[in-house]
Amino acid sequence: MSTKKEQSIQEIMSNFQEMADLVLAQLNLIEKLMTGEDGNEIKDLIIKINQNEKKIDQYEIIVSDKFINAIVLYQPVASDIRKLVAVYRMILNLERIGDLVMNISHTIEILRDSAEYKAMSGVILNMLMSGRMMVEKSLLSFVNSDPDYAIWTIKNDTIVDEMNQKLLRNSISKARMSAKTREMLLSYADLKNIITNIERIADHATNIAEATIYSLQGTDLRHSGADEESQKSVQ
Amino acid sequence: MTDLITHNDKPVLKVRDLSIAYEQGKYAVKTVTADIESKAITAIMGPSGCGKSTLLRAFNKMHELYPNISTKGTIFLNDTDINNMSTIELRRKIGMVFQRPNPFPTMSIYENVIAGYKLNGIRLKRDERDSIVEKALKDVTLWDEVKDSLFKKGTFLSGGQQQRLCIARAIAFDPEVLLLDEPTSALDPVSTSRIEDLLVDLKESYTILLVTHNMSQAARISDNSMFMYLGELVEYGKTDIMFTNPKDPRTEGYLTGKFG
Repeated sequence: MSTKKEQSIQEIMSNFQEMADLVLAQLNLIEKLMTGEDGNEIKDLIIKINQNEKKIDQYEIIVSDKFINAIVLYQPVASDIRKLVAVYRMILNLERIGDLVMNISHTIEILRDSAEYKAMSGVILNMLMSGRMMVEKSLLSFVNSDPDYAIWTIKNDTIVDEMNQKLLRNSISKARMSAKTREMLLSYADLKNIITNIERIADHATNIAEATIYSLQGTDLRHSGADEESQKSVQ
Repeated sequence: MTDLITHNDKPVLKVRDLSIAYEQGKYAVKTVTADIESKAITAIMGPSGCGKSTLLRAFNKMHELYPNISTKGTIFLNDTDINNMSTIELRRKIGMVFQRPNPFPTMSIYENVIAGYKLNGIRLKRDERDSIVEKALKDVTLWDEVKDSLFKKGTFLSGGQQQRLCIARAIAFDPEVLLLDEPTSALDPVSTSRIEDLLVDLKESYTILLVTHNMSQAARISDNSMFMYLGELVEYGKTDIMFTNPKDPRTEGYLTGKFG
């Protein structure tokens, strides 16, 4: 017979698994979105991606609440605490992957008919597949207690990093356009890089602020924003 | 097996190949070797019957009160084999506090604190006695609570106060080592917390060995932890490491509640 603590850890693990499956499903949907041509199919895919994103956000809250309860009620130690802390770290990353999938989905929706997108979608798809495989293997390594998959994932990070560095610059350099236009596009690409990173910094600041509110008031503002209702509960 | 067995820089106690049997061939402690870090709290954990209390009592030979006990191996206190010390001298240097608070029922608070001197026939001047009593009671944060009732019976105090009085009685002898056998298991959470805070303060002056069934307590206050199973010292290391990354599967099993 399993103890309450074991049941609690088991429950967290199954919720984690469900959240991980949803994130992997999102990455598959993005692949389909990139390769799909039928307008109705695209629309359905976008609806599905939006629905899944809401569920992923909910899972982040559910698992982190259960994580806190397990710590408070059972004071786990040894492999139990390592497993729980690993899950907690992973759900934060899974939630961020979910956000990035949403960003990609919105951008594809806007760009998908452009010649530039069509010219580059093949290489982007390759990069996406590499990323998806890394997520898949990293999760498998945890679920199956297989350190080899984890090491494979860590080693592959540099390959995807390299793709990130080269892909856009190579494509712009090879495109048929004047040298002046090419130079301008490269500058815009770099500017976009700066802007995106600033936006990420602001996102992290929001996360820190939400954590502060949780610490002070016990109110979880994640995915609800500091709307009027949330603000009332804080005051 | 362990990473602290003989890796302490300044061990106050050294245990070498210690085996203790209550009956011939039935060992409660099996060939234990360990160094005990000076001015630190070392917790001894393990399931019932694992030999932790026997090991603790061996440090001041309390285990020898049992008939037919057989002991092999050696314990050194500051490089002196404890077998070469008189029991009075040994117990003066290694004091003990038990599970249930046990102030002497016929003695006042004052007399309880200096009972060790009285029972061993050590005569003290009045001002020496007063000073020892005041210091010991202050060290266990009991002075302010009892300074106006020093000549009342110790048994009138609450359970938590009685246990602090017993710790005061132990430290009044100015020992180097304090042995505590589940000192808070009979106390409420508030008294437990006071004793835990007190032990953390006392480790500045004393080396503390603590037998506890309460793993959270070991995690909260000890610097080093021993895990014993069936008389064997299975694992001995820094508490924070043992509680997050134990090396032996038996320690892992015990800490995660899978056996014991």
